[in-house]
Amino acid sequence: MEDLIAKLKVEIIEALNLEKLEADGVDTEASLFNEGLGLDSIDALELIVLMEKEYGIKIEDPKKGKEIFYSIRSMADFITKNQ
Amino acid sequence: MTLFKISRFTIIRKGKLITDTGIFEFPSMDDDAKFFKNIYKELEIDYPKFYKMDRLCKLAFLTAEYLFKDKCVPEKYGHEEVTMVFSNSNSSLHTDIKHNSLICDKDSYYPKPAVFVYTLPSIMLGELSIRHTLRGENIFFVSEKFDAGLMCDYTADLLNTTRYKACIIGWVDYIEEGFESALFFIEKAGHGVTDDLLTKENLDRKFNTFA
Repeated sequence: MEDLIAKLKVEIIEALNLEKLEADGVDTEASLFNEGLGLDSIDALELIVLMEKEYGIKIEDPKKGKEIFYSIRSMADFITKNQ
Repeated sequence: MTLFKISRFTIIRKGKLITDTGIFEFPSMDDDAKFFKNIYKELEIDYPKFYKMDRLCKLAFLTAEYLFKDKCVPEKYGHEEVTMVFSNSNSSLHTDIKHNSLICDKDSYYPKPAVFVYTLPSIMLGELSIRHTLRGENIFFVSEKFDAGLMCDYTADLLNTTRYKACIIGWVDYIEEGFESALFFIEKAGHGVTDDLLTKENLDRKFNTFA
């Protein structure tokens, strides 16, 4: 799980052009949207594309998006359960 | 009919920054992305969204930062009193090509929303509106070259017939082969002002500085 979390951090920084961030500086438990990284709606779409492209997982129910993409940890949990 | 003046302008062209107060030469770089990043760092501002913009928007953003450096637009005008009239020759072609490269392979079809969102040249107007809290309307023309006559007439008509009190006229163009941007801040000319009036000839002359 920790390897997946580290990989996710690198992928997210690259996919979302989070220029000033280093993977070590990203809090695994922090909210990705609102506080925390302060991501926006376009970033949310990028995360959905990342999930499908890198992990082969399609988000079928958009209502679950908020829960899946709450934090790096929740994304890693979801990937682990659905791969 | 009210007369208007070109109060200030900023041009980024061939490695130079040209303003109404002087000329500054940027260190040359082969990579446009690094060039823009360098200018951003030179400005010493903290605006993380800059890194998400495409090159066309970055160019518009940087030019506007110099246009308004130390001069905050809303101090003189209300957020709804400033309008923007922009144009370019290549639309959002650089980003369009990038987007196309991501979707042309049916077996690896992964469009990037962060790229797609910039496949319209008018998005730069949105970025500037957010940055400078401008809530006026705006328009974007695509033309073969900078049409000073159109920009001048359209702007004068806007400022004479609507609630707008100031306008940013802009030309921001980016392709791999070259880029340039020119922004002009237009407002009412005071009594007795004869220099820098908004005319086709004055706008053309300023636009072609170091062309």
